[in-house]
Amino acid sequence: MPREFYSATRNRDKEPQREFLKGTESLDDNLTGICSSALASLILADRLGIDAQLIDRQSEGSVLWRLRTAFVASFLSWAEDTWRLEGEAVAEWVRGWYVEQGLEVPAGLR
Amino acid sequence: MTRDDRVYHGINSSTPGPARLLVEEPADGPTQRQDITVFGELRDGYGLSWGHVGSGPQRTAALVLADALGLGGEVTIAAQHPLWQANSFLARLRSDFAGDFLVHAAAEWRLPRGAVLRWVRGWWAQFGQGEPPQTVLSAPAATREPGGSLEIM
Repeated sequence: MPREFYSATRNRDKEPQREFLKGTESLDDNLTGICSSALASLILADRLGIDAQLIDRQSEGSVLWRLRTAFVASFLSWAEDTWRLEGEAVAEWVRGWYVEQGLEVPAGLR
Repeated sequence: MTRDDRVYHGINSSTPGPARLLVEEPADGPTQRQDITVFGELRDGYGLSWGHVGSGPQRTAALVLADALGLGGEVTIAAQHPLWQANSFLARLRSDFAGDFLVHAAAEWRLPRGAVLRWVRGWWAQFGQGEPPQTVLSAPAATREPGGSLEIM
């Protein structure tokens, strides 16, 4: 099974813009100007097998809200203009976060 | 902030010379990172690299994991240390870390220690035996308060 990855590039010479790809396939064609939290929602939702809007609708302090916040702080806050993140790396990190929180790892995590 | 909160910064410039692996103070954004405090540099005797399959990413992974896990000062040339010998448990940890973060890494990257330890915890939940090392259980926070201070969860 080929490894899946997420990647993004940002061109600082233009208006803030990101092209966000999962492998060679764009998850969404309308992601220009996307913020880190929305990007985190898309990536996490893809790994968890849920709708990204479900994460976006979470209230502050909920499990998914905290997961997204931690993901941004762990990865996206440090991203250079071009970055790539392996799907397996995301999955292991998510698993580690749930274990750390004393929560059951979601069955849909892949 | 303590030095437990630190960021690994890989730099592989287009100019000739070996790639560098710096250990830096966490900073909130690109502007703050322009004048960042560098705690030190991780080196081995053979040169580091990433963005490809090979020994360079394995050596880089060994250095990052040895530092993040606090494996001790005796691991001076981390990739050659007996800890990482083939077929050992830690060798698999190193190999999987390299595959997940370094084989396809961009020329420049940053990875906070807390993210490394959280990844190790997830890995350990799948492949480890018993509780992970104490350093993994006491990982730095993965969240920052709006004011920028670190919060231990």
